[in-house]
Amino acid sequence: MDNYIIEMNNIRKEFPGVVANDDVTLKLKKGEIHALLGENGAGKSTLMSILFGLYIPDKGEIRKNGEVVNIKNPNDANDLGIGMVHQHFKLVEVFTVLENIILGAEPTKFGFLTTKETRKKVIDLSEKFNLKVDIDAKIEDISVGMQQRVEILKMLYRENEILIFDEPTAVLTPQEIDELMKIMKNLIKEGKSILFISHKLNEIMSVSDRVTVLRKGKGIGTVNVKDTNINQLSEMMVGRKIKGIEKEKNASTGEIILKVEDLVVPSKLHKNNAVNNVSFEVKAGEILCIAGIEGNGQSELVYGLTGLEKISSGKVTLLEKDITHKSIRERNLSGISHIPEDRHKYGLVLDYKLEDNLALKKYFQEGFQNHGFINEDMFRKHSERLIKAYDIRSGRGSTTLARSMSGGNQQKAIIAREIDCDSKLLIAVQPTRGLDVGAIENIHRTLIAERNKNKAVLLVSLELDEVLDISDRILVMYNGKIVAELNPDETSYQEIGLFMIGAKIQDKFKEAEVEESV
Amino acid sequence: MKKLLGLITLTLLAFAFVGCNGTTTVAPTTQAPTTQAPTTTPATGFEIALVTDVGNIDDKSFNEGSWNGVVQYATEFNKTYAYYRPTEDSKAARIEAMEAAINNGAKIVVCPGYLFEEAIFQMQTQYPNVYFLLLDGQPHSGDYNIVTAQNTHNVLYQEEQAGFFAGYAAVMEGYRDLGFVGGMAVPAVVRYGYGFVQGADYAAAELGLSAGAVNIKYHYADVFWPDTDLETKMDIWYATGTEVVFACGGGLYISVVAAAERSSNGVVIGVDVDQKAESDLIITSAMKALTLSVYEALIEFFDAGKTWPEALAGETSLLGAENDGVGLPTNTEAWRFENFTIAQYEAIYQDVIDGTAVVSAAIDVAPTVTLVTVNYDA
Amino acid sequence: MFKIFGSSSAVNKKKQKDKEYAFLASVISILVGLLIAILLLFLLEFAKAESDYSKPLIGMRNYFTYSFTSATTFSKIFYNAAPLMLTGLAVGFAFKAGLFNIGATGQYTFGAFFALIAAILWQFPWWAALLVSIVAGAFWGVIPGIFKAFFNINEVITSIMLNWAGLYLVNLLFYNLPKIHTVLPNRTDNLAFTNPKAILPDFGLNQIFNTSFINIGIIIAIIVAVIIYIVLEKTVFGFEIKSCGLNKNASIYAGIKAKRTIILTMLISGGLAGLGGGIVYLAGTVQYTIESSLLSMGFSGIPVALLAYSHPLAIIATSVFIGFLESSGSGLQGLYSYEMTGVILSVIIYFSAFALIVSHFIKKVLKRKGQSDGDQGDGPVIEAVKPETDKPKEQLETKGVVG
Repeated sequence: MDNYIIEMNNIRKEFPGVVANDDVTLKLKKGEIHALLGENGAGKSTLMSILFGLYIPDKGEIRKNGEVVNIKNPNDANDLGIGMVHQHFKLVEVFTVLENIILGAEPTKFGFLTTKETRKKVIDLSEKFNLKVDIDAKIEDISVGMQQRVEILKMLYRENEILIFDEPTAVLTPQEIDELMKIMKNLIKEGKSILFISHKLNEIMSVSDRVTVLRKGKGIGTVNVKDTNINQLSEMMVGRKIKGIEKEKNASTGEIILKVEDLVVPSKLHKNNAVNNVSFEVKAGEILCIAGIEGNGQSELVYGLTGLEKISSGKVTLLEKDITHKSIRERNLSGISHIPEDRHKYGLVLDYKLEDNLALKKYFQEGFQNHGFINEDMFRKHSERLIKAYDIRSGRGSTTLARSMSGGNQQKAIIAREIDCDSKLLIAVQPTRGLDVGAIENIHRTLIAERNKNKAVLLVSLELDEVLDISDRILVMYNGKIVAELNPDETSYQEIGLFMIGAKIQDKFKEAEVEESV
Repeated sequence: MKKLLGLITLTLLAFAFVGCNGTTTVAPTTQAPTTQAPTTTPATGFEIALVTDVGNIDDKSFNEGSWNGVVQYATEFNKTYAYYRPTEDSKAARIEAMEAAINNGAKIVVCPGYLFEEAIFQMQTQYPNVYFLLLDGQPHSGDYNIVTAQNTHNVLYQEEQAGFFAGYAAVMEGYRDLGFVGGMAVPAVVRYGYGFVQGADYAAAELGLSAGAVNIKYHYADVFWPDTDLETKMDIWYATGTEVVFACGGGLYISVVAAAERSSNGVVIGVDVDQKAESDLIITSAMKALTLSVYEALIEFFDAGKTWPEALAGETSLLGAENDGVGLPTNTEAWRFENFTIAQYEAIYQDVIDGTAVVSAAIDVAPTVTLVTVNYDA
Repeated sequence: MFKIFGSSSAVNKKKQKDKEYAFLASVISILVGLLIAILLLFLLEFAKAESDYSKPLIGMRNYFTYSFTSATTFSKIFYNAAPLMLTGLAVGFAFKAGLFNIGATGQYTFGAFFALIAAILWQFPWWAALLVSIVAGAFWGVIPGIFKAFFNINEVITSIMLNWAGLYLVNLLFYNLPKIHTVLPNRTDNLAFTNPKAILPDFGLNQIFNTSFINIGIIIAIIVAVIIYIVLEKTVFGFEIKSCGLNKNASIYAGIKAKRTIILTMLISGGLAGLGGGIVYLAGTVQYTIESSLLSMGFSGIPVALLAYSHPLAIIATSVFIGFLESSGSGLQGLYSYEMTGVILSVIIYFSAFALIVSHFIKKVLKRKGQSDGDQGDGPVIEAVKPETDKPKEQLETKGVVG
């Protein structure tokens, strides 16, 4: 009993209409990596927010080293040595790494900032834990991986001994994930204890000592990692067995649906072009996947194709029709469906009802409107049909605000709307981001089904598992250019990784580059 | 973003409702005079009422001058009194305020300013048992056919005489480069201005100055309140040699004083009431005896048993030098002349009364002058 | 922020309950505002040498009875409310599209003055003059819209500047149109003499009730509010406006022409404010006088819209409410100075704006109470769709709780 550094006993937390945590118990041993596993909406983040003082539990107690503590706000948590790396980093973009680390705990002398000693302390820490950071760089200029290391340093600087990592790998490349795993093990060696939130089973298996599984707000159990396996964990998490996806290769590809020639899209962030002379084709009946590390032009490529951003040169042909300079609506109507990367920014009007969101691409069509007046019956009918067909779940059905729906169901709604347009080309950008296993599986099935209906699918993904699992053809983008075309059956994780970080370029793409520079 | 928007707008609420109701700027330091009658509870009502035109009773001008007369009489004779401000600048709102006053027990309603002409035209027949004192105007229905009922008494002032004294005093004091700024070319303001010109001319003749020795810049600002354009213009006037400006129109004196304070030696002449307290640079004021005439009219009213005596009922008094209706302030704090003496002032005052000095009240044409040069397009 | 509370639970009753809470909250807020106002009056009395504690009570009694003492004071409520409603609609309509039309006062001034030009110079009848006021306001409103749409210049900045530009332009026009002010140099001619046809009809009611404040302005304003409601809630155009207001990116993504929507929204918003100006100056009461500071009516539209959450039908209620408070202000006169009525009005409106916070408070209290009573009003999640497959039944969680 006494070797638990943190105990959360019988925690209950209720939000209006939702029991987020129901009698959950979590015990963290000193010096262990303890994973907290669960699907989205299982209550992991709520539980951690309670530990970090962001919420007050309705029932239950928290003990540190056996003593009951009262954590009312993050400051209390900090005083108890509890630190947290949030999924979305809480860093000031225009401050330097050092400034961010000391923010909130600035050392001062007579009211003036004294950074000299701090600087040394931070450098010592980063060496001790092997956390490589560029201490004077501004946050906006450094990679996501380094930003995460800054967050870790922030906790270490505050001498926290209990470190919470909220889905730390979601934003990282495979190489960076490996690095993070090493860091976490290092931290344990130095006597820290780690709580690690994830729904990625292989990560948990590889790094953690014990794992507590949550499902629908309830604690399912705590097991030792070495006594379990992935299948057992996923069953605990989902409550049933997960079947793998059978890809069943499509026999033949059909006519060219989308043809992109020498596409150039300017960047909003820097002077160089975000997409630089990219050419490719997507054929009916294939899933073409564009892989790459975030920020290598994939998003802009899609914006260029869908019309969200103006392209500076090149040509886009859809079904033999030049759509280079067409409006967004014309493109949609000529056969593009688009599952956008950011479902909150582009995909949904969060404060609109579900039925309105489902009609977003159709409201102007005859039937949905009559002489400029909205046909509410049609909205409702359309929405009921899609809700049923795609199993979109929400509190109030058609009248639910999109904002109050879970991430998975929000995504289902977008997919339902886009696929219902019956376009020849489906562009899906990171369609499974932030979703749980069940939902991911569902989306993958849907994409494959679309392909089997002889549609062309252009999938942009950062998840290599996904890329390898469901695509028929892979293009790797690096620095605004396509650097490789691969067959998923003949390539590997490692090979794609090398193309993604720009360490390798296929010959045929090299030539193009030479020509261009001449 | 939405939250921020909310915050901004909440802050704006305050301005929207507190700040913007009036058109005149009320000096924040001045306390509005109390409305409370010392001896009676409010429930019994207020016998004497004053309704302001558009501004407030601390406007340093018409409303304030009249209000002081009400306060002086009421405190002296122990009457209840209150003031009312219309909610907007319209005849309808003035009538509403007058009705509010009457419902609060007003026996006599004092109305300062020509803006009340049409409102009183209607009210005097509608409320035959209530009495009205109209300052600086005469009731009509909008067609300028004056109809003054028995329960109304009008007071007009000979502004041209007040202006005359101001112009005379300025030249006698030694100023040669004068300026006149009127609010707008309404009759009262024009009379002030033309009187000012005549006074300067009269003094020039008396001093035996040569033709063209005295210059007057003449201008209508088209506002009755402080104005940045006007202030700039005044800066230029003072910079190009103007020594004294007669600021004639509501709050616009604030702009003129501001410019005078920036200039090396410019001074200002105030209007309507004794404005000496507004600035040390206000060397004198061309006054209408508002306070006095309200005070005296109220005495007549109450002495006659809360009714207008026959001499005043339905009549218009024209107040001038003859009956102390206009003039310059002569108390020691207000007398800021160095060369021009009170004796000289009393002499010219007498000349005006007995007709030795003739001041024309005509406003259709500019007064004929012999010695001063007037630039009407300044 | 507050969405955490507004989510989940399929119980339709809940929506009804939310509305009840909102109403209750508004009433409580207004009452609290009143209480504070009375307290303020007592404090004022306390500070005086000769305190008379009956004065605040009489004052407040007068305040609330004043509007019902005569046809004049009663009709004044609606006389005040009509332009408030229209400027409130102008601001609220723009809010719906995510735009903050702080330029309503400039558009109002423009509409007012051009209505008078139409009435006095062109001898238009009232309805035609009102149309002119709409066009003038729309013209002044669309400019910030165009700047916003094509150059992404914040509409707040442009419209604040255009407020002053509009005011001075109107003043300039005033000087250069001597025929519009032939009687007095600083105010436009009385419509009763120059063009009685241009005065808004009152169907003889002013004569009967011996007042000047009755006209069809309030009816026009209510009709316009209903039209705006229909446009926003029932038309494709309204769907697009709201969509742009709630999420511009998603709207563009869906193929809505956001630029066009912004421009049209500002055009309509400006037209509404302009109509407000027309209604005031064609009432035959006020005459336009040269103004040196922005007219307050345009700004008053902001709280009207905010209190109503920009809902067009609620704006009818809030503008009548504020119209009532403004009208009642005169009831305090005599006892209190004119400025005091402004203070009381502000206090009440300030507290009305707290309704949002109060409504959450009520919910909390009721919920706590409900728990101890075993009432399941806010009850557990009820799924709309029955689980048919072996898929996990997803539990709804509010955004922000589970990231």
